[in-house]
Amino acid sequence: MTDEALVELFWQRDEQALALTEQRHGASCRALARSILHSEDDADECLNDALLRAWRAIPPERPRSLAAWLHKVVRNLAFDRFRAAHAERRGGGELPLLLDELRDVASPADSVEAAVSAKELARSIDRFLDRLSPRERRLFLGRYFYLTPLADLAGREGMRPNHVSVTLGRLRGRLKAHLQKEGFSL
Amino acid sequence: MNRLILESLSLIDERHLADCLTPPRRRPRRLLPALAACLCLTVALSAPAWLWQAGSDAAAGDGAEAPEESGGGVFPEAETELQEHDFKTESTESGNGGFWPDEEAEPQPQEDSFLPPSGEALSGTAEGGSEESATEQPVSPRPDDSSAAVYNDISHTLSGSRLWIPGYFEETVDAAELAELLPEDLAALATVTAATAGFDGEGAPVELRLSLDLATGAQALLALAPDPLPRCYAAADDGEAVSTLAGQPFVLWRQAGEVLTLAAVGALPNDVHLQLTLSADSAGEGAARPLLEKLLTVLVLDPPTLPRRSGDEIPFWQDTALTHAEALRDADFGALFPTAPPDGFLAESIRRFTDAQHDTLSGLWCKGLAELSWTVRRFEAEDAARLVAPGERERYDLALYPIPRADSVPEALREVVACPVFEADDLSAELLACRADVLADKGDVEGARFRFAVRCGALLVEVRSKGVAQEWLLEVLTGLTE
Repeated sequence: MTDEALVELFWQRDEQALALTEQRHGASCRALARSILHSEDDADECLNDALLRAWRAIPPERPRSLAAWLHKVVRNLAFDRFRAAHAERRGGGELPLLLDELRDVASPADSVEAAVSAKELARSIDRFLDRLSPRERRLFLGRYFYLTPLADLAGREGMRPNHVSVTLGRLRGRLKAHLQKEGFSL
Repeated sequence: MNRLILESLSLIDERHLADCLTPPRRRPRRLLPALAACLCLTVALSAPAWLWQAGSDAAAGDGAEAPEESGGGVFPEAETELQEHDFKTESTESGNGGFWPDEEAEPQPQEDSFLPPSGEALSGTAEGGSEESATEQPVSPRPDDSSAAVYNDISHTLSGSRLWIPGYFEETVDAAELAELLPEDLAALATVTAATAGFDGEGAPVELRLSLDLATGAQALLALAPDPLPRCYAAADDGEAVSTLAGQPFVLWRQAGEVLTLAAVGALPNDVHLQLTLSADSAGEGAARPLLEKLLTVLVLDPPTLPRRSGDEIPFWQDTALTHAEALRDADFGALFPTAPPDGFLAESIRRFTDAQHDTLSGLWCKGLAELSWTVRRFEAEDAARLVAPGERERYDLALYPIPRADSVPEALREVVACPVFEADDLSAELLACRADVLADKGDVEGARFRFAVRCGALLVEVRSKGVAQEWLLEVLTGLTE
């Protein structure tokens, strides 16, 4: 069943939409949540919450890409859970690594964090992403949206991990310059 | 702030995720360029002198000798595309600058030539390469022992991934089937000397491995698979690069030595992945490079398909976890399975496994560091070489061979001394005592280790144990075989 058909089921308030969506996108959503939370149970709960949100949000929403829409929701929910569960404690896995990687883009200071609207920042990152090549976008989002390990990204793109790392380093540099240019104080 | 950046990515526009939700796209193939490229290939194969040796000018249709159809505005769009397909060889003037990217730079497909000028290293010493690139370690683990760098042994690099493919089986592919799978033009360049295909338990292709004898006397190994193939690690000594041939990117290696090796890994337009390794006399690089390009060109323009099996063509396979009771009821091998493990041992795994090469009932029981592995299977012809008679002590008595046994056991006896096969009727306490291997490894379980097999008619019981009493083994084996 296609995403369009699934969205149509949501619009018709057909509860089958939930089961079929889980069948089609459950694995990728769980994997995304798991990469942030490192817990099967939490990942399952994120997925369930995301399906519930989908049920509530569609309609009136009509996502252009159900997968992308769900991934965003799952990612948000997973970060919420991560914050709640870990507070300031650093856990294992990719997330602390990514935070370290992004230190060369911005300082970790909370005061700056508080001063910036996440939405504003997202719009600016949207503009940054617009200027990337498809491959650069896949690498950047693969790493920082999907939290994919470098080796997996390299395998997917047919690149060596070292080259992926170098490319991501350059992209972070470009993001930093872009954000500074747009007036974000880093 | 960095966490905010990470989190705010959840709010980006969904359109950006589209690239991530679809696999990396190949360059779309347009009809006119493809037609023109085919035409170019046909002419090229029939007139290698002006295309393959003269280099880019002819291939691009830039010159009086170029056929009118391939340039001259008949297919202006195709001509533009063909410039990307330009296969420069000896006469390339672009040098290495920018073609073999330095190690710091992301390898980008290069359109101006395919292989580097002969004799030049692919990194470090190449013009435009950086110092860092020369010292960078290859990504793949590489044995320190250079003799272990069997760069062209594709089966070696694939074997690990095959182990976990349920129902994996291999078959030799005959000439008739190969004729249907491979591009016709390949025959003009190479003779297939061996072809083996691997399939999963549903008959879907896992790989197709071909050994090729090339007209020039060089040899090539071609591996085709539906999924990306592991790179051959050894050739990375000379660096690597990414280049484009007929619109398809390939990662390339070159390794010079007594034998010259050129290798390419990439995907064909039909998403079949390939690894092509060409070995030639080191003096023959001038001929080897265009040959590799020709082979790749043929494969790109008329991509081979992978064989598939269905129905009865798929060998029966099973991999089933059993309870001890179920194992004892197994019609084929249950009669030779121990009715209970030694005292205190717990079952780790009891499985019935069958595939094209194996048919076994096996159990593994553990008690701390002590363990007992028990496998029942059919006695095979190759087991006969390990059959020993009680009088042949030199073939099974471990007391005759002090540790390290790599030094003390004659090479001709290594296999049989490692795991001799006794006839069930010959079993005795004295015989088993000869197989007791008492090692005083600090921290390990006390007691002898045993490894041997017992033939019971058409069946074979293989025993491997650590910390299991010899008396228990003898009692159980004698009881079962009686």
